[in-house]
Amino acid sequence: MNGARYAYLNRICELVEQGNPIIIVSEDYAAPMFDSFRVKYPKHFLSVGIAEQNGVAVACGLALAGKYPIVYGCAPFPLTRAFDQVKSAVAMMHLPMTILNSGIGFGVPEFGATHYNVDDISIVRGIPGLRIVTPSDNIMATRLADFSIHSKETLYVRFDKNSEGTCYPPEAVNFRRGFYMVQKTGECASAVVVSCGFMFQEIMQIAEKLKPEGIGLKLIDLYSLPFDETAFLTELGDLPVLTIEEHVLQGGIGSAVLELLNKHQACNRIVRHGIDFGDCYPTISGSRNYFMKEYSLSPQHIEQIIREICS
Amino acid sequence: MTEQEIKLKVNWAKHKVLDMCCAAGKGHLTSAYSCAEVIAVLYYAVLRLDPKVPNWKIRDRFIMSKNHGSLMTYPILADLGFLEENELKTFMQDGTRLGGHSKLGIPGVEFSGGSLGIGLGVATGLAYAAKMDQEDWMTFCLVGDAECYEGAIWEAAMLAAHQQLNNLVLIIDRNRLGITGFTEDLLQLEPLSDKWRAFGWDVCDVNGHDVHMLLDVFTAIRERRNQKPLAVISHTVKGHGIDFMSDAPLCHGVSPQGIDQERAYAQLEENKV
Repeated sequence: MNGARYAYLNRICELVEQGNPIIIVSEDYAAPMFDSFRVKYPKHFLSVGIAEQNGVAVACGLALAGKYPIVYGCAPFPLTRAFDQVKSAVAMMHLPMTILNSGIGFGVPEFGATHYNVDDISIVRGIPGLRIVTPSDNIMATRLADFSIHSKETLYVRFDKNSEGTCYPPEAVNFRRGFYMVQKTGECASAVVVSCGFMFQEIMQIAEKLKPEGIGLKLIDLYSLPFDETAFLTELGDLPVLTIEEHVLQGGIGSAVLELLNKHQACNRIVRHGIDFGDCYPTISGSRNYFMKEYSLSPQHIEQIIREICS
Repeated sequence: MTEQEIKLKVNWAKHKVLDMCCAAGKGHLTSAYSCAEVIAVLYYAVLRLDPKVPNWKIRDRFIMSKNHGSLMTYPILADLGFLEENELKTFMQDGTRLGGHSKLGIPGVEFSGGSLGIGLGVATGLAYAAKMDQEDWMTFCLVGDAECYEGAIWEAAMLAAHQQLNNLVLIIDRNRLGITGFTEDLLQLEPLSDKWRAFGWDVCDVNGHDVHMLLDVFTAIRERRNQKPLAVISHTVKGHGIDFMSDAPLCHGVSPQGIDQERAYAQLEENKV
């Protein structure tokens, strides 16, 4: 199968074969990518049932005993149902492990607001020592598997089911630098567009489409938080900044960039584009494309927003 | 260590805890006193530890999930050589590592506590890892009875039984008190033993202040042939040994003040064996 999640799991399998003490802690989420893993490596697969709090707590015990747990379940629950375990146990003991959410953003919106995963960055950004990673492509997902085992960091990983293919060269992936910049169109950019994950791939395509209009852009994939702030500011220069995210405006990557500009008293114009639910979650159901249009995140909307900031 | 020696250690440690609370003007004294004997028996007679090598790979693990009672472990950790006894004076003072809840990083401490209901899951993960590696070290976990209101406790209980973690011992400090009242008035816990049995655990009821009985139970644990994890329901009195703080709702997280301090010290002296 294709996709970043599978690239990640394929590398995890290789790392298991090499003798790494990896244990997938499964919260009973039906995921084809784990079907063969649990048959092939039963000692490396622990099912805890639909019990997210216990999944994270058990993972803490495994990590304390020298194992490398990867907690996996249906987004957003491995994080939201177990938030206190993540904060009070994982982060307080600074345990090396991965908490993996699959189906971020409006990943499965047909099931209603319980299954939106559009506020997770804001939920965990305040937890010290926890790195948030949104893999953008297969190469980054593969590198992430190695980074998770060797870095000793606590990782919260956001997999988008639509992320696949390759965006940029393997040597460009640096989780502590946290971002990658690519310049599109000509030598002179008139704005910087910051996004992450699947959205970054979409914006790369939009930027290509806008080329004939003479719109020059710097595109930044902010895939890992915290990130190298100094290098990031250097890339921004004094250009206007547009952040686009499939996440609520409160506390996402747009907020992270805004806080950075404020911290350094930078005068860049910034426009943050994301989800605003107003005072209530929607009660309607629909596809991801439907919700992307509803919250002005469709390619057509993004094109228009980019044109506006560049005008 | 003999039964008599452990009883003397319990009294000494309770004096130290009273010193710590009086100096700090705060601390969960009553929570500590309900599990004083259990903690002393574990550390002096049961746990396989080496204070010179706190991270000894095959040490037993003790997860203090009922962490507001963790001040009871500090004097014992000092007595065993994990800490300097002088450091006890810093309890809950500015800049100390000996806070009201013990944290990973203090020598001899295996878990950062403070949020209830998490410890048993962590202990389950540890016990699972030991089984996986075919190691013989054991995991012990102490929870409060009112902590059993937390759903996460029962999530862990199911998993530990399903995985046949007979290297896991849970001790429930059954002092019958939450913060604001008696458990059976707040939200009924009984029949507690039956609940644990129904979840697939072996269950043993003990008088948690009876050092002799605790030694009988805990020193036989490594010889168990049962595949089930073991829940030891330790029947205790919150604030045991200090009559005006015993079995008293709302007497939680408080330290005796003024004349009460003298009364508390006097009663500890009377209880010395």
